[in-house]
Amino acid sequence: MIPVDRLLEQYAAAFRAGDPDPWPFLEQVEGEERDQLEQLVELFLMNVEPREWDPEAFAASPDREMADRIADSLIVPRGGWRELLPSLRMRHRMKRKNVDARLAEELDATDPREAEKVATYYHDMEQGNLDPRGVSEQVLAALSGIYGTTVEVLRRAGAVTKPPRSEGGVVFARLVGETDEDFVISSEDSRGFTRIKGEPDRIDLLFTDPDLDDPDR
Amino acid sequence: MEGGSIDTGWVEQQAYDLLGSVPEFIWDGESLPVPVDEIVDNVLGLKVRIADDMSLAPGCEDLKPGEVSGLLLTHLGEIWVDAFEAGKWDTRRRFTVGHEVGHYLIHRDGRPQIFCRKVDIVEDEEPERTGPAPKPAPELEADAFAAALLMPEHLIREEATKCGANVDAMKERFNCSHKAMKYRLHMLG
Repeated sequence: MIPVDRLLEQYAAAFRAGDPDPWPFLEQVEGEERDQLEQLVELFLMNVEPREWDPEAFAASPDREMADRIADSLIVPRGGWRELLPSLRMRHRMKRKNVDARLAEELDATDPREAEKVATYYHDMEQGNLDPRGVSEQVLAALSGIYGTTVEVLRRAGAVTKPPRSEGGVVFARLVGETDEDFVISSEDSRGFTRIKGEPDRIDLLFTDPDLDDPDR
Repeated sequence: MEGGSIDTGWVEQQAYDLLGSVPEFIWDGESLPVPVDEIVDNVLGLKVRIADDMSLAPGCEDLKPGEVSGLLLTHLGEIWVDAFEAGKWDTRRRFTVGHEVGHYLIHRDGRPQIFCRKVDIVEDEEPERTGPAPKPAPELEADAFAAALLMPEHLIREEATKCGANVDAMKERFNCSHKAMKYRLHMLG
């Protein structure tokens, strides 16, 4: 295995040659060494070629996009969609309703019922409750456009998104009215839970069909 | 079940921490009423659903109509609020959402089940204390959290100074019930 400091040198050389993607180097180490390399890369990026800070110019410059993409690359491996998507949303100062609206528009979900469905599926993505294998390239492309990132970053995040829980969750209930009990226990068994009621429609398929992107289909 | 006592200072701090984490593009930290729906949706990523039939919530098929005013489905990241109540009392809807957020932030780890005590259907976010048994600590904590979230202490004190702690004026500003505001003012001295 290549030592971490050697990988950092290689990354620094690649960065100066115009390739800022740290992922190929991060992939070569695991565990504590991976953590160490991530920290070193971040330090390197923080200190490389310091210039006079001009927030407006930076916001409009390609460097901004580059920095964002590097940051995406660094946080993708651990967080999955559950961490990546909210962080992208916050970074772009977008409210969820605006993301929902843009995503619905990108997916041609003009009908209010379809738009609501898109919002629900996006929510499930943020919660890590949607099987990444079923989310189509069209959805990922739309999200990458909204968040100014790449489909590849989203796909990587999907790859480390844990599959939906198969065991029951917890229900907290605020009770009203009179019952025969002083307290009510509310537990939940979510096994087999699905958003799809009846025959899946176009929106369902965009978010849940693992074969949608299969060219041989 | 025994009723519980709670560390209100700690609960207040949890609500304060949440409010402190809200980015300015969502809330400026001063405007009233506190936009609880925006905070829940955008900061915590929880989806609030106004439901005509709460028994449609996954795993809650046995609920009777009107039995619950709010549900937190932790694994789905959803809060369900009873549509009838929400339509009739916006103040109660807001408090219910705040109550469930309290459960989400304080109680969701390590507890396989949560017990909730019934409360009367009145336009009153602060449940009656004269029932046959005291509320369990998690419910008291969730209530205290909701009060602190919707009526932050520093904003309560600011507004109280402006209007001489007029309960009617303040309940309008904070979009909460008369009784909830009165109780909050009493608790904050």
